[in-house]
Amino acid sequence: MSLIEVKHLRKSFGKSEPLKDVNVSIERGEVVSVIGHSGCGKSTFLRCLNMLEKPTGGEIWVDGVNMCAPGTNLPAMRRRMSMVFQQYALFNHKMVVENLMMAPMDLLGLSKQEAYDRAIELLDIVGMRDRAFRMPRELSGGQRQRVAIARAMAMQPDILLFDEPTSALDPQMVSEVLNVMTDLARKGQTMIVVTHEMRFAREASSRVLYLDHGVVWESGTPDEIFSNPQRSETHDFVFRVKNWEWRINSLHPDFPAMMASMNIYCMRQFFKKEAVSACQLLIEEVVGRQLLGAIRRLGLDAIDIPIYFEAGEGGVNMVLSVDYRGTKLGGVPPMNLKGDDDMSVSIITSLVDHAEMDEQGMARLYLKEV
Amino acid sequence: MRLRKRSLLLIALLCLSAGLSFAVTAEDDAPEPIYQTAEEMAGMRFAYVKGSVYDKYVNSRVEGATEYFYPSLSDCVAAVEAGKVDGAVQRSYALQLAVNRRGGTVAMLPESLSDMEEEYFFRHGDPRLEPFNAAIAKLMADGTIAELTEKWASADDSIKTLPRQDWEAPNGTLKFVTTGTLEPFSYAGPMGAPIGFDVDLALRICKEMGYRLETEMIGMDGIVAAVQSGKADFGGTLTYTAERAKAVDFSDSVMPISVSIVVKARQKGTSATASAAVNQGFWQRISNSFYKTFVVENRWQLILRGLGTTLFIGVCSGVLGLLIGFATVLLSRTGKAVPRAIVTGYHALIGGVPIVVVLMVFYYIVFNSRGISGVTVAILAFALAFGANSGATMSTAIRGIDVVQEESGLALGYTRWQTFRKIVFPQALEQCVSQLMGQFVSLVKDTSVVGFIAVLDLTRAGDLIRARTLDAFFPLLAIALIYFIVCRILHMIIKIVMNRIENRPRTIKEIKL
Repeated sequence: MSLIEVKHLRKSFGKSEPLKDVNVSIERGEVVSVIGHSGCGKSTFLRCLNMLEKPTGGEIWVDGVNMCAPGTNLPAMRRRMSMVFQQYALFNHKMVVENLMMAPMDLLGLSKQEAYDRAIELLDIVGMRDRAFRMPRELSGGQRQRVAIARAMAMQPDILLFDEPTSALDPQMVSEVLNVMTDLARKGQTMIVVTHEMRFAREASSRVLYLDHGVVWESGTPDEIFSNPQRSETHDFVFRVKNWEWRINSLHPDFPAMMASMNIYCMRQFFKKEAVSACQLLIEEVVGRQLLGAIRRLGLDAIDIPIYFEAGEGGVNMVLSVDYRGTKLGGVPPMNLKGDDDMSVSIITSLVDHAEMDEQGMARLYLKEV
Repeated sequence: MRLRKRSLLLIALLCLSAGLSFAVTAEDDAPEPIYQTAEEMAGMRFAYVKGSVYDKYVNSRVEGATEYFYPSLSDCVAAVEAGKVDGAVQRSYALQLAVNRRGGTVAMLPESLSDMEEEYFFRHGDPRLEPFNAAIAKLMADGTIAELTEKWASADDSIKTLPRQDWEAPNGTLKFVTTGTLEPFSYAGPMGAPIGFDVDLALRICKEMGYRLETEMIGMDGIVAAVQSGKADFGGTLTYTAERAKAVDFSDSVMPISVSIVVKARQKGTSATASAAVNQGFWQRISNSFYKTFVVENRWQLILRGLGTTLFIGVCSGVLGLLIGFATVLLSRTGKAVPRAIVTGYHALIGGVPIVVVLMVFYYIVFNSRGISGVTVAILAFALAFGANSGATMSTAIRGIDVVQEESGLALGYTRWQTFRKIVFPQALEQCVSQLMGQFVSLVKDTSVVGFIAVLDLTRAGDLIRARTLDAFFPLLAIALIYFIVCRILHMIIKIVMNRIENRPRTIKEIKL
């Protein structure tokens, strides 16, 4: 029997039913990433595994024990499956090292010395040994999350559950935490990770579950899901998380918000510094000057133009797409650059390798490698 | 029978009261009242002790008089001095004493209002009233009462002591309640023990009847209720009225008294006492007041005792209240309908009734058994009040702790109770401890109303001393200062405690070993 076996798991909150019929079995040593749109129920799924949410129907078996049965000793089972939360949830009234010592002493019967030694060892692994005697509030988000992982490890659990562990973190801190998690995965720790971090899902996990419509919509190795998804929903989701998207739907778009969003995307994709400035410059010129200039000249008022940016890891093969479908613009930039702003035109030409436009009206600018 | 006794004693008393006033101030120095007759004071304001019935007599003589009720005679006299009222009405004896003590600021109208009778009283139908009256008749006949009258009207304080209760008491103990703020009838003597004519006579009567006597000073407005509710066996002395006789059974008269009015005194340049008072320097007056308030009869001991009671009630009800508050927190966390309803009802009830009323209801109705002392009742009442406050504070703090803290405890394998005890509650406590401590200091101050149920706390100690010195201001300010200092000290202690509770860095040693 598998370590975890989920059969026909159903969970509803009033009228909404995020989980309709989830079936999955997970073996010891697997690292499973759970991905999907926000609100698809992937966190609910994880919280059902350790019964923080009571399932509405179905069964969850962990190492041969039915978690949903009324007589199950939940505290005892939970000791074997620690959880790491998005908001870290360190005990703010205890020092870092005490956060790690508490549960092993209270629940596993470790002596103070044993718990201390184990805590220091784990803090060393997550690089937080020097912070052992700090209070949680003195740490950054990434540091807290690493402590939280160490705290979960201190129980020596069979299974580690991660509930979007990097969603509340800055990109720099995301890397700190992902590195720690990747290390754990390599050591053979059984992990179930609900995440938005596609890099982790792709590189560190042994299996990826794509949740949609309340079921496991598609499941497979990272390569199968990311490079060769079989179902269109999976494809769309993977495309969307790989690409940056913004909709120009006003003559006076919110430029700061747009650039900020772009920045986050660049950092997520680990763009080189040169690539970041190149794509920022290109978007500024193409959208800010050419596109909006053309719209104003034509006197259009109701507009809705999606623009996309896609790139490989680190900022290779960058493509900026402008979707002209349904507009009267007929592909103004980049196909017909207006010559009255020489500066702008020359910047764009210097950045773009070549451009093309398909029959549907999708214009693509392929950037030069930087 | 009643008439004969009355005329007999009246003669004796008239002589005595003349002697009393002579003994304390020289005749020609007596301050002169600004009014001469009660009729002159039509439409004016009169001060009475709360619970007194003299307003009826005044209103029958003075047209359009308005009445103001104060807790004690000292407050009435202070009100006259401050011009808040035009006259204060009380037994002539007590007023004469006040006039003498105030050194020329107030004076008595030459003519007394009406002659009345002072009597003890029992609960309706109490069979002990009959032997009690027999004892009064005996003491009247053998001249004891006249002797006592003379003793307590004397200017010599050294003879004003009570006999020791060394007699056989085959019948047990009688509990006696008296006002304690009406010198020379009933007042706090050295060490705050109740003394006075009323107490002395009650002792002699008990000796005749074969009882021991236990005396409690409870204030004018509380003595009738205390006897009615069975908290005490008898009280006194009160002026007989037909209306009061409906509430309690009065004994035979023990003393005829007259009622007078004090008003402001005319400023007399020649008055030695008045000018002496004026010529006294500020510091001289302060030190006089200090002497009267703290040093005479070792009154500081009374204050210390009151302070001890205040702190005792405060600390006990604080601890008990915290436990109650914690219990309500646990009850409301069960999530079940019945315990939650109990907690909600408790909060609504305590929140909706003034603490003084709760105190009195507890004392006279809920715990009206003799065995339960006022201090116990006060601790219970204030514990309930503090329990409601502290419970609400703790609940709010607990709600403020992020739910994910609880979830992470559960996810580690702690049970719900362990999670609450080890993770949620310590953090909530840290959030609300300063608020709780502030509420505790408030609680200590709020206990100042326990005088209503005969508990001798700091405020009541001040009242008793004021009743003796008839100086309204200095004892009040002194008590205020003591409260202030005590609260500052409590604040300081709390700060130290909080610094310990707050997450101070623990040493490596503490964690490892």
